[in-house]
Amino acid sequence: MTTADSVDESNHGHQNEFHIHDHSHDHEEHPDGPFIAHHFETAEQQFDSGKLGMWLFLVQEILFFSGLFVAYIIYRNHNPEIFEAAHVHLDKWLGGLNTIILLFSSLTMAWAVRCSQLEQYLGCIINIVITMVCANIFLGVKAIEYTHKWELGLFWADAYTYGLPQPENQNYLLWLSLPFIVITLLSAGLATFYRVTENDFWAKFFLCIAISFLGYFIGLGIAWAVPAQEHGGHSSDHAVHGSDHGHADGEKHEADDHSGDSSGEKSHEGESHDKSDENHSAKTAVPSESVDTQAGPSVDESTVDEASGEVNMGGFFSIYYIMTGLHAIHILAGIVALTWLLYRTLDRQFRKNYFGPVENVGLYWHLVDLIWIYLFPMMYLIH
Amino acid sequence: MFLFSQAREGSFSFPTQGSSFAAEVDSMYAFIFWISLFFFIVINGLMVYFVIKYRRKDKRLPEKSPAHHTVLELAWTILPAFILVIMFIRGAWGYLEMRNPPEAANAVERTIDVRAFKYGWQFTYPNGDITSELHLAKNVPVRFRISSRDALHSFFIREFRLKMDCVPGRYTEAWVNPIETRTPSETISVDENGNVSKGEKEPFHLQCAEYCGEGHSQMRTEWKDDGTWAFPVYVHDCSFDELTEFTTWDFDQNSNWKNGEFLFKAYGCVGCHAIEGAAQKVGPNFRADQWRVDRRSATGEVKTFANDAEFETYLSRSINYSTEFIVNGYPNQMPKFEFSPKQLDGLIAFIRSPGQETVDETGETTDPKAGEAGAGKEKQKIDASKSDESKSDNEDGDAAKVAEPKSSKNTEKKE
Amino acid sequence: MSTIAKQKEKLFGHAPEENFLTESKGWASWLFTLDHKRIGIMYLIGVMSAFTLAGILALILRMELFIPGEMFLSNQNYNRMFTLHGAIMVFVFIIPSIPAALGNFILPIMLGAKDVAFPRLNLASFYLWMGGTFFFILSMLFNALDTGWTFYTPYSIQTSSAVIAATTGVFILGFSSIFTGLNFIVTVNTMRPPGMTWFKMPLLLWALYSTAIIQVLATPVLAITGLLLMAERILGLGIFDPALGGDPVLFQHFFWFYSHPAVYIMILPAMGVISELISVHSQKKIFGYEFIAYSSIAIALLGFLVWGHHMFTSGQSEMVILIFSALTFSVAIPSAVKVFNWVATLYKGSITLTTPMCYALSFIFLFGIGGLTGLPLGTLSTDVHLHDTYFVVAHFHYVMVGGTLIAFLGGLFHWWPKMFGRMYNEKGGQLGALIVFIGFNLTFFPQFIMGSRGMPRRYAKYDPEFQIFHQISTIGAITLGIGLAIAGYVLLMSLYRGKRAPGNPWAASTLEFQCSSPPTFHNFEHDIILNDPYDFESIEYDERVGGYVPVLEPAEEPKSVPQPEPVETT
Repeated sequence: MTTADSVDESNHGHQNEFHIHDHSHDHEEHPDGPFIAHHFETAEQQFDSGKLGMWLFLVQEILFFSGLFVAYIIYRNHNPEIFEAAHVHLDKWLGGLNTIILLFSSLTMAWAVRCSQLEQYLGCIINIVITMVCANIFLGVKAIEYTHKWELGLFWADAYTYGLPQPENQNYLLWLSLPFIVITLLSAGLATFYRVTENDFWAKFFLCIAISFLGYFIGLGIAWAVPAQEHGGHSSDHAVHGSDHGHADGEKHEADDHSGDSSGEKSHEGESHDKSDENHSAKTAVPSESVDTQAGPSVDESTVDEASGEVNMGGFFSIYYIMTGLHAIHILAGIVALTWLLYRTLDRQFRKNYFGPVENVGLYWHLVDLIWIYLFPMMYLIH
Repeated sequence: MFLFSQAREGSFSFPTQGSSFAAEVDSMYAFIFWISLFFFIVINGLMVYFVIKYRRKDKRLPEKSPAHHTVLELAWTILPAFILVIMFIRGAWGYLEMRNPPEAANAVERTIDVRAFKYGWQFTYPNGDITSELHLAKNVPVRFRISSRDALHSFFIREFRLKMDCVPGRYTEAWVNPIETRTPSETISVDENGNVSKGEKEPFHLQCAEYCGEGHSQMRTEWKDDGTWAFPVYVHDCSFDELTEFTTWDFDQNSNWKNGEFLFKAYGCVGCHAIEGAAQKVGPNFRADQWRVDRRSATGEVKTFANDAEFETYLSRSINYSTEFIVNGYPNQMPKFEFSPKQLDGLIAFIRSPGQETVDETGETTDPKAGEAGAGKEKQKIDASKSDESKSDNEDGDAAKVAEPKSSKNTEKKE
Repeated sequence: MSTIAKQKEKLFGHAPEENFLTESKGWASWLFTLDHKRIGIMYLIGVMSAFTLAGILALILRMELFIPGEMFLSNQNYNRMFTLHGAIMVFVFIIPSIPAALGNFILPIMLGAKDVAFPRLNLASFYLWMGGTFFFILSMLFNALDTGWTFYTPYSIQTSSAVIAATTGVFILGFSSIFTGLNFIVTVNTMRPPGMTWFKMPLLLWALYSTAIIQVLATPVLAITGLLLMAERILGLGIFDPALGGDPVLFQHFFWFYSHPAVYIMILPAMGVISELISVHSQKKIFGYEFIAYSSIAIALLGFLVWGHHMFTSGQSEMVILIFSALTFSVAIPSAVKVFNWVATLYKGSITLTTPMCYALSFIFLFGIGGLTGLPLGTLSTDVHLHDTYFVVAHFHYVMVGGTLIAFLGGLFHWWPKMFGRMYNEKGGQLGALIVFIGFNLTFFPQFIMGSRGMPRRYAKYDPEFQIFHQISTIGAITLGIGLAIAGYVLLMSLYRGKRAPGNPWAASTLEFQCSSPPTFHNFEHDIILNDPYDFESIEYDERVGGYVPVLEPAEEPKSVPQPEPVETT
């Protein structure tokens, strides 16, 4: 029923036999299978379209992140001292671990694509589940990294309170983990329920979900177990120091008073316990000080307390959180997509001529992986 | 052609040519204009001619004609490129001249600091003097070091064909060599009865060209009800050194009220605050009958004043730390200032009696307003203000109630 | 020969009983439709409502500017009005107007496909558009928006207006635009029927394809900019906020990296529409097809390299500014090529002044002015004076309204019979086009003079010196409004009173005019007959259908139906 048909006819028969399309088969199955949409002529056309669409989406994603990369480069150029000072707070071992986990998950993802191409359902399911476990491990490690920084007050620029007394009993980790706990317990419960009611399909499905989300807690455990690095260890000392001396009630100083105060990262390293509370307020004075009060506005001046060399690292952590945070959101979206694949694979929907969705989610997953490959050295390794 | 002339007084399309590079800009524009007009007439002339000549008559299909002609198409692809290259080169040439100050302007003693804020301008001259109108000397090139306190602004003087953004957090730079004079006496005339009116010449215009908020359209030259211009640009026929002497203000030689009036203009308060019954701007008007009237904030907090000292403390806090207390109905947009106690005294004296000066023996101002008490029916509030600072600094709020000594300590620091 | 007549009778002699408008009924059949034509119609209704809203805002603004001082809008309200006018016009109306409304309807049919490649994504794109628009409306209800449509930092961080709602709207609209673009690229690449080679595509498809490239490549940068701005306001990120060590000029770079290409998202499809209109209504093969096709791609690519010319006075380094200026001039060349080619197409044509043709000719006139006034803005020495004045306002209105809106209206009149199966009143349409043309020039020409005399833009109050120009402009705006109202009235009345449209009322030879008016759900009731899209000799009048049908002489056959080729997927 295509032009190609009519061309054949006109070539062979030199007739003007034109077809009036009969759409009576509209709501029936496409000759190439149940998942080929009506407006595609063949399964290949659909596969090619889907794949091209996915590649364009990935290009779009790269440009989305490129904005952040540019912001990173510009900010780094403007304020190299911030990056110098801030990288010590990132644990490159945890970052490296996450890199390895993501690389491994890319392998299993590719394997899953191959399996679905070969119609090996079990292999496909196992690989998808391993990929999801890896994604969750990644998030678990990231949760530890984030909460550790929050406990130290290493927030983004406006909320930056590093070196200041931190509020007690902030259960950042618990709040972050809550959704994962809920999902794990819920899917474990549902898996049991369906097992009991002998609904095999859903029992398997929720079992896989529960296993996948257990990965998050594995991630927490691993991150816990990795020994704190020299810098990391140092910064936790620092936190103790901050909260020990944290009951500052006399911080009534104008921002302008602090230009003469001497305090700084260097002195923290040397003798971190003999500083007065005034020094802490000196550090916060920097972020709250706007360009309004500066006679000569300059980006560099506003981030460094000139007298002491104290660096407000808020700018770095702004970029760090927005970049890794968006990446983590992409990981979450990946988990959702993988769950969808899991459902369709369990349902035996993929076959030799129809495995586009697995392929496309795979492409997406590799991209998320790739972005991390760039993020990791930019954030953790470059000094 | 009247559209563009090389005459200094400007043309139909352009204002007066006030700077050394204005003539080049105008003639560049005219150059582009005539070339564009030529192409425009050719294209549209042909279009109209074809539409008339080849309108459909009886049969639908036209006679055959070629559907492409490679040589012709290449020609009209490449030939315009040459014209564009000429435009680019001439434009770039003129621009580089506008951007790079000559040796004479590129010196510290020829640099004027331009500080833009919502909604006014402040110029600091090499001798440390500050004004809100721009004074220049004819044929003396000067360099501007431009910055902004808050949002983006743009320093635009149309007679100079000069525009440069004021970017918070960095300095930008511009220069000008004014070649036309506009002195205050040329732009404002006073008749024998003392009535002030516009003079025979318009002052040069200083305008903000980058949208910056509510008062954006008032950051420009404007004839005001009190017989002055806001943010005018004056070009005096004198040397730069004479000019800086001319604009110097001596706080010790003048009364508090005079100091206040000077600061009111120099710091651009006029940008947001009108005097007495004039049309209201972004901030509240300064009115004598609002002295010691209770103030209410948007959150319902009310300040009452038992005596003049309390009110004066309130005013000084409102000027230097404007975010502390925002009177209901006004935006939180006033920048922070760092006036010394002496300057604050002057401003307070001015605010107390904005219409006219009343000085007693000791040089202190007195309350002149017996007759003006009923002047305003609508409720007026003093002051409003700007951003961040003291979110966490409670002590500022406390200090407001404590009074004079502490507030003067605060203000001394930067002076 | 009698077999030919039979074939014709069979192919074109009857209107199908059902068309896409009637094949299913009820709200749900529209709201959940996956049919590109219905989605196009919904987009059309949506963007026209947005246009009406923003147009009314513009009229209010022009009324206020009738006198130099305050008439009925305070500064604050004036700022809100011009911001919403700009933001709604740009993000909600112009960007989706031709690609999403007209393009959605026409592109697959013109290509000979049954639908776009991803119908669900298409519907999602429409709902994202609705969502984004909803956030804009929301921002109007909550303290409006007063940042200007450019959201320049740090003012957008400081202001108390609803920046977050509006930015969310922009973010969502951005994804709507990305999905449309993505869909079009894939559709053109993979859904072409055999025989539809790249150089057999009508020029509108080239234009929409180039536009789609820009949509996919530029819009994500806007999305991340919006996201960063939101984070800046909510969290205080300090990337754009100088008070926290950020760089406000970086925001401008990000913003214009999208928004300059966005100008080409607006104008390229318009150029494509004009290429169709000029050719069809003068019944002459478009002059220099390949040059026009390549110039679309050239504009799309060069458009990415010139964003810096919005920041000539922002204090960039001289070298950067010189490079951007030079690149800016380079965009002038492909645009000029198109204009020359259109005029050359008219030469020895058979020109009828139908309503679409009236709009097309006004496009050449207005776009000519809009394009040429871009030259003093690209030239550095003059731009310093003209930057951010009314000259710029006039320039971009000549391009966006005189260009895009006029082309959109022309296209709408051209394809209206195809969309709804009704002919409109030709005299009324021509009258509307004439009044729009006069009103438009009256509105915006005086603004060039104001601009070169130094009247900055976005001024709620202005110097009395400019009053006369503002008054002419206001009168023009009212005239323009009346013209648009007439055009709208003519179109709407055709739905009730118009006579039935034949499948091909214009003697066009592109594929969408081979199917019936309105098309059926599957677009084509019969196999498509692939001709050159501008070969008007392959069309003949058939009085039985009251319109034009393809010539079906056997001799023509080998020419009109080419050898089958594999679908290219490059």
